[in-house]
Amino acid sequence: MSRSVRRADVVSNDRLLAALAEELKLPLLQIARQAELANQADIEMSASQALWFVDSYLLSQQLLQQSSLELEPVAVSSVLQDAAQTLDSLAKQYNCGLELSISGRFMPAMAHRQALETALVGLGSSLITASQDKKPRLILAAHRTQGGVVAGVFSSTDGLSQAVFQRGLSLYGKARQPMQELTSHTGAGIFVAAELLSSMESILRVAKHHKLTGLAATLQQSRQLALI
Amino acid sequence: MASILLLEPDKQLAKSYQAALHKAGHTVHWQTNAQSALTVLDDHAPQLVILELHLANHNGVEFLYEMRSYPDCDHVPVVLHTMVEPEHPGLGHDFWPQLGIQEYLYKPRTTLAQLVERVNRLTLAQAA
Amino acid sequence: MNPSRNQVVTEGIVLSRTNFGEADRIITMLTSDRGKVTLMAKGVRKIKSKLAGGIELFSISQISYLPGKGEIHTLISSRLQKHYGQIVKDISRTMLGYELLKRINRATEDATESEYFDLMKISLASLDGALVLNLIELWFDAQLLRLAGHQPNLASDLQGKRLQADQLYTFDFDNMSFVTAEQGIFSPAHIKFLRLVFGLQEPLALGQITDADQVIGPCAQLVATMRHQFIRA
Repeated sequence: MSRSVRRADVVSNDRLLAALAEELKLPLLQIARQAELANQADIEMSASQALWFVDSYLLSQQLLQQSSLELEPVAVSSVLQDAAQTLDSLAKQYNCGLELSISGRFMPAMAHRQALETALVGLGSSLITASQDKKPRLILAAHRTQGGVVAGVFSSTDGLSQAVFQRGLSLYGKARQPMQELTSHTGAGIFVAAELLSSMESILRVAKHHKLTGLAATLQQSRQLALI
Repeated sequence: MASILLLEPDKQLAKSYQAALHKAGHTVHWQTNAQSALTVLDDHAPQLVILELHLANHNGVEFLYEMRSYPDCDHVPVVLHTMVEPEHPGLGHDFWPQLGIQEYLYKPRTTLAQLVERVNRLTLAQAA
Repeated sequence: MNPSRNQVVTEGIVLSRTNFGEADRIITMLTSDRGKVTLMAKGVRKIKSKLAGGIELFSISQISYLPGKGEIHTLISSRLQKHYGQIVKDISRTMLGYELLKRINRATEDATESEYFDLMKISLASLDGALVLNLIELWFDAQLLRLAGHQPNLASDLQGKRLQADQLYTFDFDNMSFVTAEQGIFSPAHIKFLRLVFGLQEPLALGQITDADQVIGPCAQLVATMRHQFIRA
């Protein structure tokens, strides 16, 4: 098959996938609302989580198609708080302790707010559902370094290392469990986060925070003057 | 409590929204398309409109402009309750004041409880 | 008196519609040869379909009307000639369509030239197609400015020198010219692009410019500011 035909196939597959993802939103939303009406919180939570995954996939595709992403100064601590709020119900469902850790004061970071929040929720979602602990912990953290603002999600779950993550990046979409050492799931939230962060020219990598292991990325600090 | 026009093209979703709004004491006139919704505007003079933008034949934006061309409906508040995502370029806030949009709710992330809470707040404010 | 002799027959684009009384509507239309007219469409709301028929938005209709004594004329008949039906399949296109109708309505308070009808016709056709919206909007705004006599100087700078390839510029709104500036945001690439935007008879060709997305941001902002300042539309 010629290269141009193969490329056309890939593009048409992407379009089909995006159309399917869009279509999936309706039945998932129907389930979530019917479950809410019937006071079935667990079903509602599962459907809402699925909806969130579909939305974050569509967002990542949309952002990656843009030739240049418009970044703006974003208060990372505020994004962490919003992400924590989104993850709260899922964390409760999995009996996971959810914490915020923001060290010191730092300037806003240059980011796409929606993409950053979606990435953090994706990371949190995958790490929460991966955990086999009876009482897992999840920390959303940010701190300043010389390179910029580091923001990430850290978990008490075992199995994550840079090697596991790198292998996962090469296997996702091809293997059913690209990070089997970490999770029985596909870990899609982590790969969606990686794509969203790459659209902001930021690389996701394995990092440590207070004896917990997780995934974090460095964002450039905004150069605007702080208004006090 | 209030008479509400619900413009929702999906029957399953509409059932859930209607049930939640009825439980909160509101009268709901459910329509699936812009044309029949305009008839309800004429016949029932609702106090609030809950609007999905993605409709068949005529989209919600057309309905909104048409509705605002009816002097009787000039002050009826509108809640956008839609599948159109928040980062959609068409949802810039420039047109909100012109079209009397009081609230934007992204359906996939809005629970029934949140929808009812917003509707109650708007209808109470209107009554006051 | 033979009523048909007084009837005006023309083609028009609906700019706005407002209800009047139980069954009537007041319609503002931009015509091909009579400028902007205000028409009373009597009994039109009794017709079952309010959103269909001969007075559709995003359409060109052939109309006939009886001139009134004042500013409002009586619509006698209307027949749809061309409907730009693709516009309403996309929320953003619909929004921009309404916005352009509103802008031209504001800009044509006193004007009667047929060029405004042509401008709206080309813009609707563009919206009906696949051209990206920000190019359509930029071209439209530029044409509005041109028709109103407010085209900026794109040939030379404020001192009368030809615009240089290695120079940066800012824009002087009082003189509607570019001025050399070390920290200027406009490069010759922006200015060349603006020449096309103001000079093209329709916006389609703008979609073929490679890297248009690199220059459009500041250009669109500049033209929008001019529009607000000089046309208030």
